[in-house]
Amino acid sequence: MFVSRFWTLLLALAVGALLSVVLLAKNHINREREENATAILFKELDKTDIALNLHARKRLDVLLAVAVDVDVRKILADVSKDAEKAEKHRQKLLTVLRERNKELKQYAADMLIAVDMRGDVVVQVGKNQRNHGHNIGGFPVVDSALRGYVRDDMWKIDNEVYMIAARPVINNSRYVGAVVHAMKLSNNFASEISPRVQLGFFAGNLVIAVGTPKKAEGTKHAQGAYIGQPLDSVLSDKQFREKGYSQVQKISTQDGDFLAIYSNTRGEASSNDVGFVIVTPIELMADATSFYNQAGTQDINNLPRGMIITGILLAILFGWGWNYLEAERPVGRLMKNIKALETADAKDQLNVYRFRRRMRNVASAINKVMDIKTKAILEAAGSSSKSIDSILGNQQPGRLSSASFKFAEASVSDIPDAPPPPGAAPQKAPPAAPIPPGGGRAPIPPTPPSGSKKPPMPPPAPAAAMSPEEELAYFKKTHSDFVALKQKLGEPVDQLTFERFEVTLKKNRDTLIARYGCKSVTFKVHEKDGKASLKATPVK
Amino acid sequence: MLRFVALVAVLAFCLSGNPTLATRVQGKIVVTKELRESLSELEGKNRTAVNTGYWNEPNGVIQVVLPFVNPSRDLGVVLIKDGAADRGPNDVVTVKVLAGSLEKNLVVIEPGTRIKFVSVDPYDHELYSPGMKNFLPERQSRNAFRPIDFPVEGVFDVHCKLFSHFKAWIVVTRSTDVLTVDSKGAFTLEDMEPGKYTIKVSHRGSWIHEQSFEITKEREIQVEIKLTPGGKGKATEEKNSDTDKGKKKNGKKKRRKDK
Repeated sequence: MFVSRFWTLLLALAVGALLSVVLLAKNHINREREENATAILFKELDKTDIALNLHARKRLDVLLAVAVDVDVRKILADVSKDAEKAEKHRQKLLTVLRERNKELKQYAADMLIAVDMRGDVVVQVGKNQRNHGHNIGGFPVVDSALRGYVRDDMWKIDNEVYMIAARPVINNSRYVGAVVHAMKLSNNFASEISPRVQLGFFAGNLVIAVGTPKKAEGTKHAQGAYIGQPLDSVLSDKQFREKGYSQVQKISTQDGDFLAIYSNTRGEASSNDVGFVIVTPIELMADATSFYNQAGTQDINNLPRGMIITGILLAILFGWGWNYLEAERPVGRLMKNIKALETADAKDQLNVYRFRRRMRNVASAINKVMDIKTKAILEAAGSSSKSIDSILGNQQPGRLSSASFKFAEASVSDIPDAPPPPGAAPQKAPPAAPIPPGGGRAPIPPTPPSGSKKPPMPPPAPAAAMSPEEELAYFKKTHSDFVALKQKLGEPVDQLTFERFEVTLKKNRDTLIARYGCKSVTFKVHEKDGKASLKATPVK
Repeated sequence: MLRFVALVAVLAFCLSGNPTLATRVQGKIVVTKELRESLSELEGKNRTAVNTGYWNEPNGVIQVVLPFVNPSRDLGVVLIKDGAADRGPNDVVTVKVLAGSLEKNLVVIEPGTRIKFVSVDPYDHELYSPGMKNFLPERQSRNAFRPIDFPVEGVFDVHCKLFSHFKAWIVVTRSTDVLTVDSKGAFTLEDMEPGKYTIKVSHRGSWIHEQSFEITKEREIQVEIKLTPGGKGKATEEKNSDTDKGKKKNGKKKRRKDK
């Protein structure tokens, strides 16, 4: 059994190793997915920065068409000379700016502002169109434009964030003012800037715009409320303040898990905690079964099935082989030896040296039990009254009901040790009782029922040493008692004819007389386990 | 006879002089190119990728100009007379709040003066001064005003929580007078009594220039103050003269001593 056990240990270790590999693989894959998602986030962070850069360049370029407009130049030159003329030119400048703004198409401004050299707003197109006259020269981007710079910026006004582009307006080689282009951050803009990964913009702890990637259909998108959850901690994070971007944050939503990285924007609005966030979904394996669920059909088809099946079959064959060699074969050998005892001499026992290890122990145990039982039978055989079953062994009750005669197993070796019946001449060795099929020894004599309710009937006169008439009468008396008891106990007696009964009794009587050398045999009718039974007793 | 007496009296009056006649001071603050260049340099140093946008480049058509310094808006000029008492607290000073700054970037007041900040901007503001317990961020809409008292001397930065570029300075100092300077830097002091005076100029919250002059009995004095980088106590030029004697002659400035 050692190798079998070792094989079982090997299989258990293999299963444990397999489970460990699966769990390790799950963690490894999850970690790798997180690393990949993180790499994507940083890549998209750079791409978004570049996209915002290019968009700013584009806005500055299209704004040139407004800055070089003849009407714009002349009007701003006039107003810069004399602020009182602003009112006079306002309507015309408003019309011109509207037309120019329409021509910008997708880059049309949400607010297009013309300022004079003092920084005063002459005209504002778009949002808050009625506002004019106020000074915005203090904004760095406007101040720069009035000094000849082409510059972009980002403003946060109330809860809205605008991307700003400003250009100087030049007339007759002199700066006469500036035009300021403001475009509001929106969901559409976020979608346009980042077509593959979800992009959002936040101002403080509020998410003000969230894009829907157009080229990433089928992927999950996080809602703005979820994206805004980590903002409080991100904005207070030291790394975010120093480096300008946060650590990768994990966002758990009803739609799944996401990784996000937060970055501040360029421009003045960054001082007001305005920034953008890149969000990407991440599919983490919850358990080992996810391997199968997430595997594609091709993956499953590509499995080396032949190798797997061969491995399983080899494992089974090895297991069965070791089991046969170490368990089934020794047991079979033991059984064979036990069966051999059926036909062997009564004193024979199992040869324990033909067995190994446990089988040797089993054989020794069997031998020991056989000795104990034999001794018990011999002691029982020494009593004055002996059950016909124990004496007759596996003798069939003839045509009588099988319930009437029960033959328990008893050791054959008991017979010689049994004391001879009273009056019988001592014999060397009585013949061995028939060995029951499947048993190694003679039938064990049945023990008298302890729970018998009625006392046994008084034994009739001996059946032997009688005249034929007396014997016939004795048998009839026994038959009638037996039938009476059976009827009393509710057993069928239809086929229990006297002729059959007599044959059986005579046969048993002769057998006992031959075995024990007694002169006669008495038969006693009694109840056993609720059934009528007959006990034969040798008489000296 | 009467005519003679009258003529003598007039001559005597003229010759004796009038000791109570005040002097007029014509002054000019000149913002030098060097100062503007230093401001441009400073601007470049303070510029980071974060506080500017992606693009900030010259237009390529005509040359860009150096940062503007508007003396009336960006400078604070005070006059201090030796031995004279302070003016005492001003009346309430009203200052307009614009989108990018205050109407005057630098306001000079006496200790104990109250400033009323009036927003004339369409955008909301939340002005505050770091370190001032009575000047904390508070939302201020258009046409709303906030009165803030400045009881002690010092320089107080004014910021806006909603617009990070917003910067202004309140300079609280004791002085004889605060000069009103026009956009070209010119100022005039009337009825000045004789004595020693000092003019101090503040820019972006720092005293960047200090220049002394003395008034004796001349009727008009011209003072020119050239603001240069780190110009405190140097590069000063005084012109004390009669009516037109302080002007340039042959393209060169003439240095003259006080009489």
